[in-house]
Amino acid sequence: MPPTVLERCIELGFAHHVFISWPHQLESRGVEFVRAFALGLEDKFRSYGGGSVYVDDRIQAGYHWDSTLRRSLCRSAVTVSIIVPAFFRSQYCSIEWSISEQLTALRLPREQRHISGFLPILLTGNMPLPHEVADLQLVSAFLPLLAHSRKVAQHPSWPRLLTSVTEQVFEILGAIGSARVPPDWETQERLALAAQPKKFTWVPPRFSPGVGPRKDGGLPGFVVESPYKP
Amino acid sequence: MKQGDEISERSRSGEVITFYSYKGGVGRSMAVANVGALLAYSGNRVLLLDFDFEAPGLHRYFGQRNADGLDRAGVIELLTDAVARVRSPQAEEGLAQASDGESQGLPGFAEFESSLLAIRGIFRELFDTGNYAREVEVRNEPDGLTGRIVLASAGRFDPGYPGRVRSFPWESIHETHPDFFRAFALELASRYDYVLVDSRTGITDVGSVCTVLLPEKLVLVFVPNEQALHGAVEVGRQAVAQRSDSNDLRPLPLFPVLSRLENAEDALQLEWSTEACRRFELAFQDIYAIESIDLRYYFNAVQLPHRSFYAYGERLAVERESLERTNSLAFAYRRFVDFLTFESVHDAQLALRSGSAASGAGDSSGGARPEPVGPMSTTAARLGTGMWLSVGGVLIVLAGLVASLYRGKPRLDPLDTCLTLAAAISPAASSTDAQVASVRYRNNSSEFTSALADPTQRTALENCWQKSGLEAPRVAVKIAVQVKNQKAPGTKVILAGTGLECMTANDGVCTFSLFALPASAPAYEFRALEGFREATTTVSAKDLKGLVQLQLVSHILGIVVRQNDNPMPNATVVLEPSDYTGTFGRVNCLMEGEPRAPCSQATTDDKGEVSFELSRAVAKGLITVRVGQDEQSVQVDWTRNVMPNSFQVSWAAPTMANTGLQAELPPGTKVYVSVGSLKNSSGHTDAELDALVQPKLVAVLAKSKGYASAGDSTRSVVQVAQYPRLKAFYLSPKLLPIEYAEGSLRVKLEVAFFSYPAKSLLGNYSVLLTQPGVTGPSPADEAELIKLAAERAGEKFIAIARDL
Repeated sequence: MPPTVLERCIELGFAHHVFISWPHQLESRGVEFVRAFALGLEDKFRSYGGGSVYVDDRIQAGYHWDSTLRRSLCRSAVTVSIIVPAFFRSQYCSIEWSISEQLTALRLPREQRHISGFLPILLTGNMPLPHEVADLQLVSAFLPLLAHSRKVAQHPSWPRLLTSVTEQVFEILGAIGSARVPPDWETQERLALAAQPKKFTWVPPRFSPGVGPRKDGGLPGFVVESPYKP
Repeated sequence: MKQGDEISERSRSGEVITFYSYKGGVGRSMAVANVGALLAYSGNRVLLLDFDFEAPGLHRYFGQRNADGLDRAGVIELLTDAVARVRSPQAEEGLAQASDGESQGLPGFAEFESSLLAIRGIFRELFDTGNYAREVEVRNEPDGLTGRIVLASAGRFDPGYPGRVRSFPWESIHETHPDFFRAFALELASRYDYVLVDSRTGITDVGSVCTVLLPEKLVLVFVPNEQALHGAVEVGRQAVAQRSDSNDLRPLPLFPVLSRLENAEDALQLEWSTEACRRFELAFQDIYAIESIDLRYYFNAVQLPHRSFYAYGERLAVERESLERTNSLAFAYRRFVDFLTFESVHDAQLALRSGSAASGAGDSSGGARPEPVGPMSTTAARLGTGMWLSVGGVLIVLAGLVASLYRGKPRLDPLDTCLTLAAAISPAASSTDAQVASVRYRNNSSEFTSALADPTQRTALENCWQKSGLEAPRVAVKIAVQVKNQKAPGTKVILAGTGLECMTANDGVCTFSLFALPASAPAYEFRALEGFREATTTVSAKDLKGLVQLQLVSHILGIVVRQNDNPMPNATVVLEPSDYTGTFGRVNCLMEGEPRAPCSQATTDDKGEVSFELSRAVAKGLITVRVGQDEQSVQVDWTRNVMPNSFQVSWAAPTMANTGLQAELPPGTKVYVSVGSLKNSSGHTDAELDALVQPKLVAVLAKSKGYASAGDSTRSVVQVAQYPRLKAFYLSPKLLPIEYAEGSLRVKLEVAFFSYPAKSLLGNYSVLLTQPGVTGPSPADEAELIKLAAERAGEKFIAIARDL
């Protein structure tokens, strides 16, 4: 019920439906992706009556961006995390993860606890992931689009993937919107302002969506299945 | 905060393009040299790098011009010096400090930005010395073009060269400094518009650096044999996979190039080109997640022919030959460059096929890209700068094309002809396009004949012309329409099997501009319509004109209205055609003893019968018949020859009286949902699950505004029949086996939905719920989760039903 969930979240007091958490060490191509993704998502929402996607590069210089970010995140229903190695080096991404994790636990009704409030999007196919991320349903479908050309939003599969992600967002919004009473915003904002960086659990990775053989730490290695090997 | 951005913004000034071949001797270095020269003619800053250290030779294409450079340092010395500096104690210390500042002790991450900046700074300093490359001039005498290329040969070819190549630590430098080659590429791209890398062949460390770590585009050069083709496809596939795996977010589009094609072997050439196209289509679908891609246009346009002249010595075709000669090797390189300057083969095809080459070659993503350089795609830009051609240049190109078409034996098939012309001719030259196309068409008329005889090929050909932006080879077909030998203006004429139509003018003639059919192809078939009159005619490709005499054709629709199986006299019947198109859609009422008259409402006679006369425009579709408050849709089939006053369709209103099943639905009901019994493969008994799922589904649906729901029964069918405007569906739920995995209980409910009562499948969806913390069989938890799944399924259907 996309229109209902979007409206319902606003009724409950959310300012944004989606918060995009991305490391600012992301190279410009990643930033382009984030912007295209945010615009695409807002466009999708528009066809259901409109929804808000928060990307923190909108903060103007001079603001208290730490508290602004924390408050915006607090008032967002779903967190989309752009996962690259730099994500885990970014203190702000770790804080954002921590805030989202705690708030989602408060907001989801008990029977909806099987749903996660995060939607992690992988932009790097083969990287170590902490348990907290590896255990979630990761979106790695954008990787081939990044490889295809600079204009990721012009890839033929972009609309389809965006629709798929939108459906996943709606599922989470539906779960959060099923709460009978609005969140206790005062408590939640206090929690968001005080949250410390997430201490991720680094164990041998259980998820590796990477393709093809690779010599760990060495040069990329090719294996060509051919009788004509040199 | 935006340190990474700064790096990347600087890196966007140019792009590194690697030319790779799995086997040697395919013309890879020659392609690098020729493409580099073409790009330089357009004023681009071009750097050529020879990475083929074991068999260096790129510098040979620039002969004496680079003679003084042979004893100069090159790529291997540059890399060696960079490694020495990166590994110097001062640099190591700086890099270590950068790492400590950002890593936070997390495992497994390269310290990306800081080390990248530091290494890039080292490369910048080395490049600034000017010791590793030399500038050479390239000149195309026939067309009077000049340009400058910066060439970095493989190295200084002194006795120490083999040792420097052997001892270079390809693997260890990547292990200790993963950003080393990336920094190299970024620094080069910030200095030049195009950096062309001549890669080593085969599967080597150097090859991996060239194909995965350095480039933003990868050109795969191969000759028509299995080993070269297979190697090119696989290396391309793995390079893209490894780029996706890495933390390098740059794209890696592949540009395959079929090289050294011997034109004398037409059949073999077509066979290999087709096979290469097929293999790369499969690879592209796989690695770029494109559901379907058609590379025929690209493979038709990008082929490097074998010219025996260039098998001797090292000469640049783009220096010796005019770029306007369509059968020259220089022209083939020029055509390839046209594609290469786009973001990807896919983008290039889209832009070039739609004739928007000039606007598509630039970077619309906002980056600081160089001016588009494709010699063909940028005709307009070149005219603007005066760099390439005079204003008459386009005409010269076209004249050359026409001349070569007349002279040479037709080599390409008709579709290829169209595609090639589309690529070759700027949309700006539209006035001459028709002439060229028509010449090309006549020259290939026998191929066109056979292609057009095949409906699939014919469609492809017509589409090609349409998309190409060219004036297709067209003919004017005139149809004269008469009624009793008198002109019939205002008559619609339709070309059978297409949506094409025209209206006759005052002289009773309408003219079609049609894709030209060869004489032996099937004829055109036209149908003329005017009210109740119509006629058909066929026009041969030779005559191109036809005459039709309209005849009165009656289509009679007879309707019987019954109530309780008895004829219902004096019932008002209203006819509402779905396509009532004014002049051509006409309805007459036929009432006994009265003349035909236009009307769409009549009263049934004593037998409960009424008849209408319909024109073809009305009668070929769906007609809604309304009697009082009830209505029914009738699909009329006029393919048979219908005689006047014969009832073709009998229709009866629903017999609703005295059945005991009166309307029971709440007011405002718009959607009716019938829920079938649960199909069960879960291991539970059917009755037990039906009791869980069906009531929940029905309850959720019934709670929703405008919905009514029940099980599947005769009563349901009758209820639905009483409400003709109701949207009615049938749901068939199915519970899959219940799973316990990883400490969780998992329930999946699949629901197929159908129209109702016809039960035609419309679609399906599923609901998957997981409850963590349940390790073993727990009937109570299962029942709860199944009920929850049923509720979700009901909610999901309400969302789906909005679009049905």
